[in-house]
Amino acid sequence: MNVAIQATGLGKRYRSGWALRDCCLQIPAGRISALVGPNGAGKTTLLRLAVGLLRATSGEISVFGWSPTTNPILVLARVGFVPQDRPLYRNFTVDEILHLGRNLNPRWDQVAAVGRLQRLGIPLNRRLAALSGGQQAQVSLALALGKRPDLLLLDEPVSNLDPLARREFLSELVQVVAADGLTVVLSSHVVAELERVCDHLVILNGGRVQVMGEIEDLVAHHKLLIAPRLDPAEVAADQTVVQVTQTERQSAMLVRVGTHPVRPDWEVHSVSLEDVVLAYLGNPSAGTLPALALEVDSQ
Amino acid sequence: MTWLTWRQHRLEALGAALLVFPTLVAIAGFFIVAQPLLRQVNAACPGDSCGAALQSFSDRFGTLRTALEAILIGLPVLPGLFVGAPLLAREFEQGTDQLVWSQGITRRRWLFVKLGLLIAVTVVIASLLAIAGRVWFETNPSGNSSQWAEFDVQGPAFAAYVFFSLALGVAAGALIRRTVPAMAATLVGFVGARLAILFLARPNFLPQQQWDVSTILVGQADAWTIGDQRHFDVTGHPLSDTQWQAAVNTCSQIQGDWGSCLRDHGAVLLQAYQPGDRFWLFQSFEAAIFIVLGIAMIWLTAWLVGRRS
Repeated sequence: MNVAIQATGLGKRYRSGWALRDCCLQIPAGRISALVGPNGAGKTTLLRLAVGLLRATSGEISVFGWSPTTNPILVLARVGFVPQDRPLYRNFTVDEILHLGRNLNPRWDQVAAVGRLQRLGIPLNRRLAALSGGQQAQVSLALALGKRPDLLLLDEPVSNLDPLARREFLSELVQVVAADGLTVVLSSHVVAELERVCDHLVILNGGRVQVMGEIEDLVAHHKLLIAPRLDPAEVAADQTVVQVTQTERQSAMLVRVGTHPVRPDWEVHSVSLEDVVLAYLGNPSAGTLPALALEVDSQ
Repeated sequence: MTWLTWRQHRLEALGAALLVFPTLVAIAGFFIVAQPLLRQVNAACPGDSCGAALQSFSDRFGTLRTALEAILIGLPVLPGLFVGAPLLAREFEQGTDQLVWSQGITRRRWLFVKLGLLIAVTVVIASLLAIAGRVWFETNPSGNSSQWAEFDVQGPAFAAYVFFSLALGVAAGALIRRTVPAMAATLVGFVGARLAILFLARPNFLPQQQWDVSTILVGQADAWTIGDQRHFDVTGHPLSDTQWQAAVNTCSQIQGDWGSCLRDHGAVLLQAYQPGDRFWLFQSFEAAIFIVLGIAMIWLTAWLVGRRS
């Protein structure tokens, strides 16, 4: 597996406390990774560290093997970044923001950037402030893609967009990635649309990596078990319980499938990505990392 | 980067042009229009009609001169307020620092190219005004005022104020990260630094000299008199008011040399001053101080921008 981002013991402390702590992760190259977690989980901090906007307090982060702070020029040339809230110079026209991209990026692809915006029907002579939120998001994406990055970092790219604009943005993204094969890391606290777009998942919670793995594997290796009401400790012995919901008559447990067979009187249901994510977010002490997932794989 | 700098600061450039161009034109016009009256003054002075000639000159041009002086005193703070303070603060406020610092050039290069261009342009404009300020001073009728009164609106000191103002504004924006508070801090910091240097440092760039007012009534040409005249005894110790008054009362009744009479009665009246030939030396001291302060502000900004926290 080629690694786009590698973090080892990564930590970032602000005046208010640790935003990210002892964080170890690998983002595979050529994939679309979802970075998921509640507000304040450290998603934005992680992305800013990756693009070199912040310097790590402890540990290390590398992008294609280079440190974003000691070799900024090597990293900046290869990374496209759409920051949270998609800031743009709002009094610039679309043309002017592309001019900025052309001025500041050695590998800038003007033809592709203009073509992309024209295909979306965004007028190039319009001021950015006069564009809709969805159009501004598309301009931000075009600016980040115009530098022909190998890695695209998107911090909550569809937040505050209406459902149609969200879908248009994400489908534009999927098309580009399919065509260019670049690596994407997409942070979000909305899980629903990620399953369609992403193939790799990282859950950050409380500044730590809680879950990391292929979405397909994660979904396949988690099941919802419905059993007559029982003590979760009984289950914990042979399954890894992520979350338990008890009702009067029965217990519903979202588990990571273990080595032991499920008891015959239990119902087994498949789960969606959203079920898995919500279960882990609801139980910060549970976690699954690739090493563990691999154990499951091999057996 | 050049294009981006121009695109982001073209409004300020327009504002600068609208302020500076009329000022330069006014000074040039003043210089040309005032020549006939100036020749009359120079012909009359020194002489009996000197006072009347000076009066007619200041009747005609007094208001213009006051206005120009006020403009030239006030101008240097403007680049700090409207170019310097928003330079980083506005990027932080709008989140566009993350946008521009994640493009393909380092933030340090972004800062230095941008600052370099803005400083170059403002210093060129400031130098034009500094030269115009000198021309304007030289258009003053001699004897009407000392060059020291217009010290702050001419020469290298004026250009250095402009450079310092810009650098101070940028540093305030980098530190405070919000535009309006950074502008306020720039205003306070600039006025504070100017007043501190003007009142505390400049009179003492070199040791002050004293002249005996009681013997030489007409002071040295182009000297900068500092503070009030003060009375001493002949050994240089301060003299009490009653002793001084006694000496004055005695000597006022005496015909002849008032100064030597006072001296005979143990009293001397002294005026502290800086000689006129120190003017350009003091200009270069003052300029050096503000250039060093400005460089310190840029160094602080570079450190704040580079530390990535």
